[in-house]
Amino acid sequence: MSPTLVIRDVLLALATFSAVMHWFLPRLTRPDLYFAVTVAPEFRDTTEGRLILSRYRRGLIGASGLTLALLGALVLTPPPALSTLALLFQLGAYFAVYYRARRLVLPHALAPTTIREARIGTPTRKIPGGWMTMSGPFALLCACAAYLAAHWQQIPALLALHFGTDGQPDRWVARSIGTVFLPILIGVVILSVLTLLLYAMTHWLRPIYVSGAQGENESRFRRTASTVLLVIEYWIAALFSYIAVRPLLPSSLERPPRAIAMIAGLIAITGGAVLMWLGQGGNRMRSQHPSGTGSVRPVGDRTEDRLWKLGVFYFNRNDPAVMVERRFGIGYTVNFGHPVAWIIVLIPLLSVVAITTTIALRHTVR
Amino acid sequence: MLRIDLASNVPVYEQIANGLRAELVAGHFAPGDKLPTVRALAIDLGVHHNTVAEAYRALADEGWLELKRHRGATVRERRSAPNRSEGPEKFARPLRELLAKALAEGLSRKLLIRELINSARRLKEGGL
Repeated sequence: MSPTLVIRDVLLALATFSAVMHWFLPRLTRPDLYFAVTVAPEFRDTTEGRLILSRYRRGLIGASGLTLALLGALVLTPPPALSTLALLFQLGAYFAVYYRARRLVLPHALAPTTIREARIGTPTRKIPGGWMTMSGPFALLCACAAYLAAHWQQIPALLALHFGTDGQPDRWVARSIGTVFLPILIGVVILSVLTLLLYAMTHWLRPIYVSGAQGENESRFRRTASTVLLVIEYWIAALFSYIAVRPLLPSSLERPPRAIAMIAGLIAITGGAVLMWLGQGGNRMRSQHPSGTGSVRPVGDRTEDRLWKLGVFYFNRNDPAVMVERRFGIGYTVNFGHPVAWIIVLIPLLSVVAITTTIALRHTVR
Repeated sequence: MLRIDLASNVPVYEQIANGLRAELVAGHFAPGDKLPTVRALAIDLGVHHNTVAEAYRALADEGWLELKRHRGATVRERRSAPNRSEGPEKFARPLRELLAKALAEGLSRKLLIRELINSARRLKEGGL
């Protein structure tokens, strides 16, 4: 199969997955959160609620059609990487469709409950497998670094830096400490951020319900999401270990094996499907008012709507939680009002851009 | 479980202290047990760390908790409460005020009496 067709198929699979996920998303959020707005739990089943959902889905169909057309046109235009623009277009179009639905829900917004709950006693903040499991990916990269140092003389003078769509190297770098250990360094930076994210998910996240069926469902979801993140960490460690030791491998193994992409796809689809199935206190759970308080206010996620910019970005300087549950989407997002959140978001981006730019400018040989 | 109401007139640190005290009096914690760290409880309740720290300090002053830097709060053996000079009026006045508020909010006398009897029964059995 030609590389152009492979790229087309991969992009088509990603676009389809995104379309299916967005189709179901409004029903996968908590019953008292509709398009990231706190509403009465029964609102989504009213005529008005159904009408908004129907308009949203019609918009999704239109946006998906345009994405497909764009993908079809771009895939024939070189370079093939240009086709990824279709996915960016899809993201933007879906956001516009979501935002229109959100504006229709806003007039029905209600103030959330002011009740907050915490479990005292049983410690619930645990990383799956503990610190030993979490240090595994780092140990793998350290072992690779030791292996590279021990076999320094066998490393070729020129290292392949970039592979073309035909799988052949088209850019090289000269051997140096920086270029040989670069994959290890990038791997460590990415793993450090993911580990911080994992720690934040288990230790700096506020549960919405601490007891009952909803509390158990939340804990199960958090454990599963942490496990998926841990699997991703191991995959990244394996990927960067392979990239680092590739110059020492037999020539038949020098080309990036398809298995890497296949495993990545498998993790993404399995992880995504499991998390969607579990929901996050979502549509399968009945709404629950804080018992014994006489409160008639919806619980939502116990945060105020005004703290959610566009319904997507949470910004609250007075909230010590670094991570919160996403209002529209599966999983969690950061509290942009917390300094640690900016570390999680910015440091990896800046580090990777800085490292790769420096190396590419100084050592690239075409 | 600890529950607070951010819209209540009672300061949040006082609600936290009251809730924890109720757990301690009910014997849900043994001496030596650890309470959540200030940071963890602040995250769970969505309040500032200082608010939780103030509640912990209040309980430490009453002899319920031992606070150690970087080690969190540990439940202490509390043999007897310090002798209070205010007498029973310290308890009776707020109780009367609470009852008056409940009546003003429309709760029936019958319901209040039932709740008071239930509380008295639990108190007699050593609970809360």
